Amino acid sequence: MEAQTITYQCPNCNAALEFDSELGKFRCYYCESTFSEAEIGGIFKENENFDLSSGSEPQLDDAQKQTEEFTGQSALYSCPNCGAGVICDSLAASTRCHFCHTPVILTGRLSGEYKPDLIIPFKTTKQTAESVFQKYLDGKFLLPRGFRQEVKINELSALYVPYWLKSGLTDASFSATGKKIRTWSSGNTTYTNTKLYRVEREAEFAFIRVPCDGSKRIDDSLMESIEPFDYTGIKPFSMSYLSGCAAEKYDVTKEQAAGRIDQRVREAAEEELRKTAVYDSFEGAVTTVTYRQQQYVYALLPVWFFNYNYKGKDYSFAMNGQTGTMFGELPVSPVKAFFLGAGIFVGLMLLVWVLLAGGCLGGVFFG
Amino acid sequence: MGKTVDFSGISKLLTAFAAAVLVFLFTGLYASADSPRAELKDVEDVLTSSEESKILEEMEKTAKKVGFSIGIVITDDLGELNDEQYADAFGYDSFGYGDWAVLLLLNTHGNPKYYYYEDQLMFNGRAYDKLTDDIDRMWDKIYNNLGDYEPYDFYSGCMGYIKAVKTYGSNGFGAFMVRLTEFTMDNLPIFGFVLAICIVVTVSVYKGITSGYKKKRPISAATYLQRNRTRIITREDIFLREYTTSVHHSSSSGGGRSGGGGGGHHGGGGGRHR
Repeated sequence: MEAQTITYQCPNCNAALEFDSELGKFRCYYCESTFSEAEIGGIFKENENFDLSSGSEPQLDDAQKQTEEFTGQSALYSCPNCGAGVICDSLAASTRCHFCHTPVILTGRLSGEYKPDLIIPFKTTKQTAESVFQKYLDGKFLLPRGFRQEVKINELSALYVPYWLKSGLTDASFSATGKKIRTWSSGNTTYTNTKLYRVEREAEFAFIRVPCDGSKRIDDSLMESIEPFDYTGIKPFSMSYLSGCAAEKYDVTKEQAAGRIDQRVREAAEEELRKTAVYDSFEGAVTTVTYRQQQYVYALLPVWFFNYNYKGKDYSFAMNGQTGTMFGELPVSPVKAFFLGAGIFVGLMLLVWVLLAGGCLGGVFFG
Repeated sequence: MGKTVDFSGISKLLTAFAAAVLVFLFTGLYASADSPRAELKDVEDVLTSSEESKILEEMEKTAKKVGFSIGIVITDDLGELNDEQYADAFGYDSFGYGDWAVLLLLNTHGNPKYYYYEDQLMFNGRAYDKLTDDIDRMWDKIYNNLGDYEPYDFYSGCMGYIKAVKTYGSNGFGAFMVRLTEFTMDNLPIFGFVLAICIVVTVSVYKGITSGYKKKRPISAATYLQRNRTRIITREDIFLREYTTSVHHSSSSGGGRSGGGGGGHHGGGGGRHR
């Protein structure tokens, strides 16, 4: 079954339009025309309401079922520009034609339950992401020799990552035994006085849009490292923003994402409640969080991705496409690491020991 | 018109000659004053002539290397002097006042006039500066070779002394390593402690550096708290109980060594069984 697609074309020359994150407008790279979000919304109004899920389920024969199984893992679409048949994976919602490089949005992937509520458009450019990565490499003397030459930073890609954002009004409670410890000395005796308290705290917290990425293949802690996003820049979803960028639909349901979000909320609530109780330590701490109100929204948030393989191991670099916050993993040369460790140890040992030897060595070089 | 003679060239030549002579004399005197020498006096005749020549040869080489004079005197006749006075007198007679020297007096029988009979190390000038911290080690090297009981091995004792002067009086990496090794052997427990501390520090520093190669710090969800809507409903701190524990530390006297002698230029006497 062929996926249905949209390509936003320039009203002036019919070339493909792409969202220019630096300009904050849609741009035709052929005739250099630019269009605001409102203009594009008006011209391509019908695209925004595209919904494939509204139709009735067709009856499938065996051949069709096999085709469905295949299309479940991948999607076949015809490029609106060159007509080539292109296959992309099952989660891609926006991509480019592999032949003519025209940006294509797979509308079915973003319709019905997969239609995002909100989107934060890219605010950083590829050049910014590249320079952040290059800066990250600066001064990293443990990088393997030739690493900079081998890594192809131009493979950096802009991806709209599916996110579940959960807001909620919570009742949180924290109970524990708090210890206050005082130590003093008198003569040859050291005394330690311990006072035990039953600590009870209850509070109401409002969490706004706690995010969890909705993609199984993206590491949660990686995504949490490039948070937070600035929600003042969030906008109602419009397909036009996807033009020129890759996008994915979620494959983690909001129920699955809730587990991770609730864990983060519970940790944050405990952190906040502990701050109100000044003790040296706690024992038997129990924290509970219950939601009085909760709401999920599905959003696409911008991330620059760069995954590379070096000597058989995968490394990731990710940058928040809105704020520029980055995450990065770099390989370490074992030989350089050994010499660094040995150098520090020998240098330190020699310095400390020579200083201690002091008078014993006095004037041995200059005396 | 009479012929004039230009004396300016000759006077320049004479001035240069005079300067050269002065420089020669000065450097000669300086060299003479500073030229390290070796002096061996075996009054008791405990060394064979071949041993004497070997010791003297070694002393001369060492004196050149360390840059100050070296003397050895082996005697039982101190005259009217005690060990210290004899060593001083011999040293000044042999090397002059203010010169740089080290002298070993091996007192074979002692002066019956005095109750204490000791061997002596006398230092002067730079030799004192160089060797003063190593007097104990020097004695160790001397007596380890000399032996504790008669018959003493005077030849080995003298060679041990020369080797000690060479080791502790020399500069450079070799001397540095010898001293460092000796210091380490004398302070093995402290060395172990420093080693452990250095390993911990190295691991910490290494981890600190390599942590920059994995920038991954998940942020807390507290970032998404709407602070103005946070309301603390219950805040209870109920006292349960208290207890006090005590630890008694038994007092112990500290170790350490008593300070060494004052500003004397003697290395103290080395004791020998008689």
